[in-house]
Amino acid sequence: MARTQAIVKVVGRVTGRVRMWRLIEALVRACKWVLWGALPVYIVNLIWSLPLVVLLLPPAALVVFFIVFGVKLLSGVNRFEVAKVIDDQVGLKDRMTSALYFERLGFSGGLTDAAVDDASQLAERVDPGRLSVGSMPTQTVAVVVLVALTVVVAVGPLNIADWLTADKETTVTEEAADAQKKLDGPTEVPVAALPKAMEPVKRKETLEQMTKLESERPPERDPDSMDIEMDPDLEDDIEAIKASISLKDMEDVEEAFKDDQKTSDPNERQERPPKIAPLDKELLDDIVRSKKEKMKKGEGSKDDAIGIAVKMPAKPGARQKGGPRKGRGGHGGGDVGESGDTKGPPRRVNIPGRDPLIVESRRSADIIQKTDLERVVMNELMMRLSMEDVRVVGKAASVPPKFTEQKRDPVVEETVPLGLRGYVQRYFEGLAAE
Amino acid sequence: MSDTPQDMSTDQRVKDFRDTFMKMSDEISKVIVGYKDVINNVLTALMCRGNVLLEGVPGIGKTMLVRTLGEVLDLRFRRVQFTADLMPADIVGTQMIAQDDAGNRTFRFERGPVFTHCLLADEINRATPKTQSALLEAMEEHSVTVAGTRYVLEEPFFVLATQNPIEMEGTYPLPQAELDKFIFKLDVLFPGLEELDEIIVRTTYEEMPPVNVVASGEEILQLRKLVLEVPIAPHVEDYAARVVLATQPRSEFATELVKRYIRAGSSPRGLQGLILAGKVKALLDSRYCVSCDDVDEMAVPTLRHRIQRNLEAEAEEVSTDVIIADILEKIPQTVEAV
Repeated sequence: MARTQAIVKVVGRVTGRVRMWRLIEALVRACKWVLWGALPVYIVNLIWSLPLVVLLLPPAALVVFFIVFGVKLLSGVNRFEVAKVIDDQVGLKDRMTSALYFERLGFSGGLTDAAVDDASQLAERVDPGRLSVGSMPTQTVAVVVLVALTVVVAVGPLNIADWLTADKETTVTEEAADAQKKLDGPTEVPVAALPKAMEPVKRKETLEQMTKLESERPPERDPDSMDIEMDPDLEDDIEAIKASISLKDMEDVEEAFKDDQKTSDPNERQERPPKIAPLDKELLDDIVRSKKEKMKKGEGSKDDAIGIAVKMPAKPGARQKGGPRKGRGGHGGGDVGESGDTKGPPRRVNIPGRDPLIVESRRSADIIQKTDLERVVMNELMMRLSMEDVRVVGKAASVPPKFTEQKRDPVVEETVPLGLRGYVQRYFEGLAAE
Repeated sequence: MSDTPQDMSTDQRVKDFRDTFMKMSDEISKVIVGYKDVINNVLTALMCRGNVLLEGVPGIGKTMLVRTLGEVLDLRFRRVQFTADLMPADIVGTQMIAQDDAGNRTFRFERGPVFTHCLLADEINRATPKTQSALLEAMEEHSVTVAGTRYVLEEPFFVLATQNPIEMEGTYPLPQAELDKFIFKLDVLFPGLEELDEIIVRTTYEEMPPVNVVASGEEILQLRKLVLEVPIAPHVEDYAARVVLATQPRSEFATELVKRYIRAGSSPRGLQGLILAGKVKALLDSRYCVSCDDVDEMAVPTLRHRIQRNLEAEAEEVSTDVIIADILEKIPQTVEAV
């Protein structure tokens, strides 16, 4: 150690400055690596204002890189490294470094001792104060330019985002001023704009008409409450209608008229009262009478005729001119009814002194079935009957494990028929109870 | 150089080495105009116990350089002109039937021109590979083996070979194994205007000046021992090793140029030559240890013929000198703590 004392002394005086230069080098490296990434971020920020977190990333990365490079560079600063720096600066061509190594490794003799002595003598001549142990990294200028550019872009006066925002604010202000001008302007509508001004009047008429229709429209019924708990009065009405006009009654009416046709004596048959309830007969008479009056007035139409389920036949005298016709009817020889039914309309029987009822169609029974109320009743009956033969083989709770859950989107939404909603609701409530 | 090395101090020995070296260089420069670097490198190779391959066009003084070197060192000098029909026996010698006075006939080994101190293998690439390989043992081990008998060559043994880079017809490029035996490959460039004027003055107005003997063979051997004593610090060894490794395209130290243009890098013999040449360089600089700069300075002549370029490099005319310079620029002279 004594031989290299002069070398160690010089190295010790220079070590601090070498560390400082290493830190500068680390800073330059960190800037070089970070700013290349930071500059685009700040340029983008000029156009679209980025979140503060994004803007703080480059400085944070700079600190991290500086620490990493600094630790790495400072860890290499030992006395051999410093001696190497001095050798390079003074031009000693590794004399001091080699001497320290020889001393450390215990080399001696011959040229080794000469090398150590030579290095020590040269070290005594070295003035550490005049040593420029570090030099600015070659990329310093580029990094400085990059730093300046980044600072200008990041915090400088250039801020396109603000300009864009200012433009938007100006546009909004101008639009508001225009609107205010319109409000403050004359209310008289120019002649050229009259058609447009009339347009709201038409719309008003339309709205009034729609409001009127809306008021006439029956109130909406709540399907849930309707299916679950039916109004008792409504149930009574249904029962009354079913009791008064039922399919059985209509079949009886038809059979009664068939019996009249089979009777050979028209007089005898004339005396037989029709198998029809007095109330129904009066109802039918009223319908037929009103239709006749409409036909006489020319108000009837073919559609009305088709819609008439039961009507009175023509006068018997008019039908007997050609005598009773043979055959089962049809287009060729039979008299096709006004309904156009070709499947064997019953032959009209001439009953003198009376206007016997002739049933041409069973549409009279379908009138009620076409109403919502009748559909509710029929669906109720169908569901109850269909459930009688159902045999339970398992619980609904065992279904879900086999069920592959689907997204909401692909599920097809179908409107549950009005009469089935209650049962669908009960079904899912039953699943929930399971 | 009158005192023995044991009597001389280290400083004196180093000084004597440098003086002898410079005297030899100056004496050769009396005959050879210019080419100071070539002369110094040839002498460096002589101090390193190495052989030199000189490459240059004809007529620029390659043969004259070697001949003058032999005269300066007071060593035996032989020249062999390599041709296509040259046989190995023409170099190393052959067994001949000899009859003694008693009439008995025996085989007698007739020594070839390789048995000398300084052998000039002129236009070595004109001989067949078989003949070229006859020099391998002599160059590396300083011995030749004929008919099972090994003959040790007298030291200092030194081979200088020349080859013409232009006239390539009828030539046989030296195999890599033989190239590796040369410590240096020196490019002898065409002289400049000043050198040509000097050549005219020296050779056409007067006779060639006589050269003085500067050192004997024994003194050369002493100087070689001194070279081997020069210490080298670990960080310099490490640097030299990294430089040699960087010539290998698959090495971790390989540069981009090496990966792109090099097919095979230097052998460990290249590292040996690099260190030895660095030691000579340090002694010539009055230093007692090798520096990284010495390695840098001797890297090109030491490694340029040990690196094999690929076809892409040859097509793009990327020389090995450029690649080595790139390696020296990229490999840092770092210092590792021991």
